[in-house]
This record gives sequence, structure tokens and C-alpha cells, in this order.
Amino acid sequence: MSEVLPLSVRSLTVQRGGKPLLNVPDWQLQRGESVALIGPNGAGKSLLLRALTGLLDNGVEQAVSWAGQTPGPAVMSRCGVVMQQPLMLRRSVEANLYFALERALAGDALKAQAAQALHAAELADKAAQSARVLSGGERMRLAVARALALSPDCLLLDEPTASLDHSSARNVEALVSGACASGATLLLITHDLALARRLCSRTVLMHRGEIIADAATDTFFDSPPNSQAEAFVRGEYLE
Amino acid sequence: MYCEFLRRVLPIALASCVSAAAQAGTVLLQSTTSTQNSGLYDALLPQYTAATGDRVRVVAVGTGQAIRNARNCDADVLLVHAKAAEEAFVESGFGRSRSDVMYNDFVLIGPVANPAGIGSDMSVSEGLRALYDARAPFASRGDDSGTHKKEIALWLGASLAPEQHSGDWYLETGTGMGATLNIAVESNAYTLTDRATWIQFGNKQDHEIVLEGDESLFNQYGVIDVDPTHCPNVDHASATRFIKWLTGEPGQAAIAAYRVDNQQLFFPNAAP
Amino acid sequence: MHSFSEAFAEAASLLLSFDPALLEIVSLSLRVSLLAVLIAALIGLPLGALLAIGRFPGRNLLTIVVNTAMGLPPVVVGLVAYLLLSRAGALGPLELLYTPTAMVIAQTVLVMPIIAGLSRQSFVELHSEYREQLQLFGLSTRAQLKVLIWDARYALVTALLAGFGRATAEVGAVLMVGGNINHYTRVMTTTIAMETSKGNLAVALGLGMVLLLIAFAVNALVHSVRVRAERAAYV
Ligand SMILES: Nc1ncnc2c1ncn2[C@@H]1O[C@H](COP(=O)(O)OP(=O)(O)OP(=O)(O)O)[C@@H](O)[C@H]1O
Ligand SMILES: [Mg+2]
Repeated sequence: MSEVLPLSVRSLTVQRGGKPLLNVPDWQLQRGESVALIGPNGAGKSLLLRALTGLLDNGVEQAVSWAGQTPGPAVMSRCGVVMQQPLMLRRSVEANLYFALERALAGDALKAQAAQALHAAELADKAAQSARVLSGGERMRLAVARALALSPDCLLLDEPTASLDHSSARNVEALVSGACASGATLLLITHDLALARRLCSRTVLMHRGEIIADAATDTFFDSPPNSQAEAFVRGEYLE
Repeated sequence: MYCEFLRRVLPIALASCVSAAAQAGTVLLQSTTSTQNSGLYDALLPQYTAATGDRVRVVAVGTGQAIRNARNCDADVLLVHAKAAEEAFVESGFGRSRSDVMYNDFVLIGPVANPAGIGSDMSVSEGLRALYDARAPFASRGDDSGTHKKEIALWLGASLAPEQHSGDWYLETGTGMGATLNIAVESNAYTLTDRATWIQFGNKQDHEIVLEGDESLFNQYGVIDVDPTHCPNVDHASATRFIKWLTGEPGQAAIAAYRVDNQQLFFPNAAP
Repeated sequence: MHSFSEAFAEAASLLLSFDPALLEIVSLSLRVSLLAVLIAALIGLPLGALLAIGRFPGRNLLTIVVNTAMGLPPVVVGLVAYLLLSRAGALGPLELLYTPTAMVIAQTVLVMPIIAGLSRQSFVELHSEYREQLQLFGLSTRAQLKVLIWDARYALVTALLAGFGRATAEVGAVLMVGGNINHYTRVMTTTIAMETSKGNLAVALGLGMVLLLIAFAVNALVHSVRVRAERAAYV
């Protein structure tokens, strides 16, 4: 299986209607890193994730290189992605997991792995019900479980704890840190700065489509690299 | 890849759909709705099959369309009732030879109230003149069928030109005999039909025969074998076998024996 | 006069008598229409998917053509099929005119655009919902297609049903290429047309009711399957 990391972005720009939405001249994610991507609403975090995963067309994928490959089936099958609004297939909870697992497993191994993942996501009692009627939080837990199911090389998560209650959030945090511990690379978009500090060794701040600060997490929060990062950490508005 | 799949599946699927094209010993007969609807073929053809083992498949359309279909070689045998058109068909090399088979007659039917005042003692020309003068509604086949051709000839014989009143009281239906009868019944119109169809027709309501028996109402049916030099695909052997039977003693007897409500519908008159 | 009660009585007696002639006609109707729907599905479903998902020049034009063809007048299809299948026509040597196969072909032509058009619509809807997620799973186009087909299956069955309804109800085309030959190409609709022309309106209406009953039974069957699936709330 070919390597997908490091990830590097070069001269990535996205415009809509003449308005620049994303402008990232040069940025890297190394293998084994865990990086928090933070920034105010509308900063372009989700948009960057969509660019990295090849969901934006118009040649944007040319600016993204996963160890030399553009984002396509080969790369994506090594990544576990959870979007801000994860989509569930029109199937049961269980079937949504099977679906992710089917690419690598079959038969009893698949069933066992799915049961274990459902249990870890605290969804075992909902296995047979439709994934479309799950609550927001349950849906997010299932999405994380689904993304983690195949032990991907790289985890790309967009606010996975945003709509979760305290215990679910801790549950998801445990799942993610477990994956990191076993070697997965992590890019975590979040508004929960405490979570970022606990899970990530590096923090990246985005604002108006640009990366305006990028530093080791401890440095970022203890002695912010610039005034804007300092303002953001203090909870002030960014200009 | 998928195309390959289709190429394999389609022929099997189509082949499984009942027996394939006509086998040997199957006669394709283009004929008129009047003979079919009268039930004549239902009585006749099983006897023929029993006698020879051959099967006859009847396609019943108007005489004009039957002749056109036969021109396209979509028939082995043609059995219609429009002598001039039949002779022209043979003349032009589409048919090999034509023989008389049987006859019956046309009748003029109309509402019991008989608004045109057509008398049963009138000649056809007198009857049509009365109809014309009264501007009583008349439903014409208008479809180039045998009955339609006959109707045109009758108007011509009476020196009348009803087409100029088309859409007014002269209604050209452009459909088969049955549909035209239904229209005539519903719109209180007169119409011309062959006796067999009328006897069998189930929706007469308050219509009846208002004129019959005139010599010019004679209705001759003829049979033609489609010429194999023009249409190499026809089963000419089976065609001639069928025509020989139909115009021969057993076929003629069977025609004479066919009755509905104790009335004989067709009268055999093949040349011996 | 030709009252509906008379027709009901006729329909009931037709059904209850298990008249072999009726069974023959009904069974040929079903065989021809089912086969036509099957073949139309083999072509129409992939075509619908291709139009929904594929990216190729002429796709919009082809979509318009398919949508237009959904309303093809049966007599026109019958006429064209007749001209092709006639012994004087391009496909004359196949000797298919006035056979059940010819009727299957005509109905396939009528039904295929309906199946393609309706399935395209379902595929478009589901694809716009699923597209990104399937891409994120790293699925190839072919694997994506499989998911779409499976998860759209109820809508696709509905498309097939619409095609089946059209096929069984159609008379113009099968009359022209089948010829309404007794014991060979006579189906429900051509019999109804013939009985009407004989003035046997009650028999015709009775047969019409039998036809409706069959359509009802098929729809009820599919509906119950669908309802069961919806109760499981996977839709
Ligand atoms: N297709 C598009 N057309 C126009 N504008 C867009 C499009 N997609 C995104 N945007 C805009 O780009 C900006 C960045 O959006 P994005 O979803 O990346 O924000 P975000 O950083 O994820 O914010 P949040 O924290 O609210 O999730 C927003 O202002 C959004 O309105
Ligand atoms: Mg976002």
C-alpha cells in the first residue's frame, strides 16, 4: 500500500464570484503529526478540508499533494474523513459501518469488527435502526466510528465534538486519541481550544481564507506567535 | 463489457418469448375486419388445420390496408372484398391469381325513426338521394376499405357528391367497421355495412336495416396468393394449399354451413 | 343499456370461469410486457445512470431526447416498427412481423425511455446527496454506481412499474406489429379494441376491468414491499 503522507499544499487558491475564499501558498502536514485547525466561523477551515479531500473541482486538486498523489480514490481510501455535516447512507446504522468495512473485510471478520466499532461508539443498541433517524450527536459518533473503522493512515475531522454532550465528547476524544496513539496522522478542525490542546501537538489558525499562525500547540497558547493569534486565544474578535 | 452481456442476453430473452417466426405450414392471411368479426375464421380455420395440419394466422384490417400490407410482402394470402383493387393488385404483379370465394351483401342501416324517410322498396340510388336531400347524418368509413370503396361507388352511381358536406352531416370516421357502427349508433346516423358484421354487431341499440336487397349491394370476396417472384419470402406452397381448400369442396361447404342466429352470413361461389 | 353493472357481471364471469381463451390472452399480455420491461430495464437503467452521473459531450442533448421519448405515441412506434419489420423493410429477413417478438420489440422501444428517464431522475437526486460521501470513501466510479443502484432500488422498481403499466395498457403499437392474431399475438388491449369494434361493449369493459385488476395486483405487491422497507426506515 502506497504512502499518502506527508501532505503538502502549494499555491492553493479558491475564488467564488471574484471573492477569494482560500489562499494557502505553502503548507505541510507530516506523517504522525496531530494538528488542530482553528479559526472563527467562515474562516475557510471546512473549505480547506474539502480542497484537501478533492471535493473542490476546477483544478484545485492540482495544488494538493498526498505524497505526490492528487486526492483521488487511492488516497481517500487511506483517509478517514468526517465532514461537519456527515452524511449517512439510507441504510441501517450497522449497514453504514459494514459499508465502510467492506472494502477490507468480509464475513465474520467484518461483523465482529462492526460490532466492536458500534460498541466503542456506544451505538450497539441502535445497530438495526435507520442511520437517518439518529440524533445529531449519535450521527456524529457513528460518522467517527465509520471513519476510524479501517484504521486509516490519516484522520481528517471537522468539528467532531461540536454537537456532542459531555460524555459523548469524551467518548469521541478517546476514540481519536487512541487512533493517534496507534500512529494515525490527525487534522482536527475544532472550536474547542481545550480539546485542541489535549489532542494536538501543533495548532494552525485560519482567518479569511489564510493561515495566519502555525506553531507547536504549547507555544501557540503560551506565547502566541503574533498579535492575531494572541487575540484569538484570548477570545477576542479578529480584525 | 455490459454491451457484451446484452448481446448474449437479448437473443435468449427474445427467443424465449414463445415460438419464433412462422414455421413451415403456417399461412399468414391478410383479411378484412368484417370476415374476422363475423366469426367465420373461428369456424373455418380449425377445420382446415384438422384437415391439413397447416395453421392460418389472420391479420384483420381494412381492405385498403390489407392490400398495402400484402404489397409489402407481409402476407401469404389476401382475402378481401374490393374486386377492382384486387384485380389491380394481381395486374401489378403483387398477386399471382385471384379467385372468387364467397359473397354476401351490404345493407344500409339507420335509426328506427328513419328521419330521411328511406323506404324499403327504394333502390339504393333513391335511398341515398333521400338521405342526401334530408341532410341526415351518414357515417362513412373513410378508410379506403372495401366497404368504403363500395360506398363511394354507390354515391357515384346516384350522381351525388356527399364529400362536400364532410364534417356537416357526412361524417368520415376513418376507422374500422365496428368503430364506425358505434359512431353511427351514438350519433343517430345512417351507415353502410356488410350483413355479416351487422348480424354479429352487439351494440345495435335503436338501429336497424333500412334498405337491402338491391343488386348493386352485392359484396364479393376474393382470394389471392401473393406472388413469390415479387415476394421471395412468402410461403407460396402453403398459400396455394389453403386457397385450393377454401375454393374447393370442403372449404365451400364449411362457408355455407357457418351460421349465426340461424342466418347464413356468407354464400360460397368459387368457380368449380 | 350498456351499463357498468353489466360490465361488472361480465368481468366477474370472465374471471370466475377461468376461461382458457382469457387465460391465454392474459398470459401472453403478461409475458410480452414483462419481457419488454426486462429488456428495457437492461438498457434503460444503465442509460439513466449514465445520464445522471456520466460526463460526456452530448449528455444534455441525449437527456432531452430520452425525456421526449418518454411520451412517444404508440402508433408512431408501431408504424416505425412495422416499416422496419415488414418483409419489405430493413429487418424483413428476420421474419418478425406479426409475432410476439415484434410486440416485445415495440413495447421495449416505448418503455425503455420511461425507465431511463425516471431512473435518471432518481439517480440524479441520490447522487447529489451521496456524491461527496462516496468520494470521501475513496470509491471508484463503478463502486459508486453500485451503491447508487442499491440505495435507489425502490425508486428504480417504481420506474419499472411505470414502464410495465405503459406496456400492458398500450394498444396502438402491438396491434400494428402483432396483428391481433388469434391464439398467437392477441393480448388484452387488442382484444378490448376488437370487442369494442364488434359492439360487444360489456365484454370489452369486462376485459378492461381484468386488465385493471392485474395492474392493481402488481402495484399492491410492489407497494407492500416498499412499505415494509419504509417501516424499517431505511429510506
Ligand atoms: N461554494 C461556495 N460559494 C461561495 N462561498 C462559499 C462556498 N463555499 C464556502 N463559501 C464561503 O467560504 C467561507 C468559508 O467557509 P467554511 O465553511 O470553510 O468556514 P469554516 O471556517 O468551516 O466556518 P465554521 O467554523 O462556521 O464551520 C464562508 O464565508 C462561506 O460562506
Ligand atoms: Mg466549517
